[in-house]
Amino acid sequence: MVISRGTGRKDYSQNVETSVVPIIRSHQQRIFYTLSFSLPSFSYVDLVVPLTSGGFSMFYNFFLSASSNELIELSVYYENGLVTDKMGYQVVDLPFLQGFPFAELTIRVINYGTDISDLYLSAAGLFAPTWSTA
Amino acid sequence: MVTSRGTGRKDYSKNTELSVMKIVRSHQVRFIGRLTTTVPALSSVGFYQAGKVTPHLVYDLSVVPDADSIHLFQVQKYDSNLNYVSTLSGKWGYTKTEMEYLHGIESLGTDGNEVLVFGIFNYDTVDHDYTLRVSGLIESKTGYVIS
Repeated sequence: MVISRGTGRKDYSQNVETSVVPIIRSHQQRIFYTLSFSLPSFSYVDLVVPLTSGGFSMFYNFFLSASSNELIELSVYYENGLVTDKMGYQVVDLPFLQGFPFAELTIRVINYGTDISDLYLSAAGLFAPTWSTA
Repeated sequence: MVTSRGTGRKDYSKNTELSVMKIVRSHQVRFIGRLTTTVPALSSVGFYQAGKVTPHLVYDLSVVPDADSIHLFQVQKYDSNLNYVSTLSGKWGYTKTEMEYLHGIESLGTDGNEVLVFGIFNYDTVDHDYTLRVSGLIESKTGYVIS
């Protein structure tokens, strides 16, 4: 942070920058979830993503991709139901520009094509622990 | 910056804007790493930033083969002794594979005892040249070289 000298507006820029150093200024941690699996033709699977307790998890990115060019669908559910879903051939990217907080997170993957030997699901976000009042 | 008029909270939006100027306000600079290499048929190659690695954030990743071919692109975390720690993401592709992380992937660098490794798995039965591109923010002006 730039030390104030003389008069004029103070420099508050350090308060808003994104840092790769996990210093005490930020209590958030990045979280990642990956899973590789197969899926038969015209079937689906519900994947319950394990979330860390003691805070809330905010997810920003979901990537679903397949090893073959089949029609697949990615549906994201939180504790109160469906958040959103998206279909695509081989690749489905689902970004949440402002993030979305999950207390529970279930992802449904549907295969509308022939058997897929390898599907890859990736998710990324931030975990913020609940502040302790003790 | 919007000129203040009347009463109410002032507009401090200018404080939060991204700048292309390497001014003292930020100690971070943008980087782009690019590398092209041959990945033999039905095999994989892993890349990482060798030597002393400064902390950085990776926002955009892409892998493009020289011809359409089925491949898997993975981002993994290793410790400074190059022991596997965890897989952060994976994605299948054919023409290209792109991953845009809205909040970035954090790497503390070798000082923080971790290194990002970018793995390309060529599932085609012929060799292919793959171009890997990585961009983001780095904590200093030392540059970013993938090897």
